[in-house]
Amino acid sequence: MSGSLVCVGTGMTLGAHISPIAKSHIEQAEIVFSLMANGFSERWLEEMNDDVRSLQSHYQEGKNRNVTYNEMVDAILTEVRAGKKVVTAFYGHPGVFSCISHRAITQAKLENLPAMMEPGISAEDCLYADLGIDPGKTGCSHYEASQFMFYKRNVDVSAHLILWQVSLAGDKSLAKFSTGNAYRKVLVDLLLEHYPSDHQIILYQAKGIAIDTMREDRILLSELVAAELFMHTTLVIPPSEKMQPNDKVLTLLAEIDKQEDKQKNRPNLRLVL
Amino acid sequence: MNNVIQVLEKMASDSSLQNRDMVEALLTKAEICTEQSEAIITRDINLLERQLDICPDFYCAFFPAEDDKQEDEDEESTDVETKSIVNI
Repeated sequence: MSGSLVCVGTGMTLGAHISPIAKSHIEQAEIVFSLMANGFSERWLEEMNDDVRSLQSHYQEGKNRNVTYNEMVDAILTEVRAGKKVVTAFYGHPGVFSCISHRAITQAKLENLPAMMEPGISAEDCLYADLGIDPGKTGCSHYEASQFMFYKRNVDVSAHLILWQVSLAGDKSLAKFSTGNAYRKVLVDLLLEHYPSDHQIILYQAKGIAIDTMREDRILLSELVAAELFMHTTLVIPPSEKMQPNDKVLTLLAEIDKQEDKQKNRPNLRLVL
Repeated sequence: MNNVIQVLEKMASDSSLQNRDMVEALLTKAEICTEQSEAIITRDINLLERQLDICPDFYCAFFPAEDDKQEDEDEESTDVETKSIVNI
């Protein structure tokens, strides 16, 4: 019988966010690989299935994370190829800022093995709820912090800017578990090209378990260099300026409105023979 | 209810357990030791980790999915440092 792969998300908070279908996939799998954000959640998975295999052991400081992730993908696909019904459970959403699920599903499909993804509640979802941000209000850009630094970006200061994995900002080696103040200063200097130093920013962390507390530390941009950051800390930069109307486009739209109104208000003419 | 994980799951999924009194009532019925109950009431995660012998060092670094074009470029590149960057 052919093996299969389902990548599911368990959400951010143990027990609060998992969907019924994700739970069912975990319970009915022959093998569950897990990539959780804390040990409590790993234990929780072990109560749902007798064969849960943590992928945490592949992480190693000094080892390029690209290598780590390829090893994880290999471990998953080896069992799928062996005909097992495999589920890989990720904290949060399995397809957001996670190359493992995407790589594993792509490879499985190339080998004609059934593979799919079930979404989960992500850190981004929790952030909107916890911080009271509606991304539809002013718009919102998301970047992985290092990627934001490595590539030239058009920063829109009238929208929210959210930088993920800020504690690793500037790590080109992909082998560190945190970067120091010197790296972070480069990020702050880059942000200072767009924002004033006294602009208020937010350090956010979602709740992992019921007794945990959400982090919402509001500090000044200039204080970011010395701030305490963890692997799961997210940097939220609210807009520093109001949205500027695009007069050129608004004029074009007004002309279209005018033409449509003219057509609507045109008298009904009848052909009289 | 016979263990801490089930208590944590119940607390996170039952809307009636969002205040301390209700949690204390739940804990009196739960089959967990006094120290574990204390850790839950005081929200002491480190103590609860020690009680359950859970490793506190968990890694949750991520790595955005790369696009196919960049992947192809990587295969042609011999520069190890560049490869690690553009794979993001």
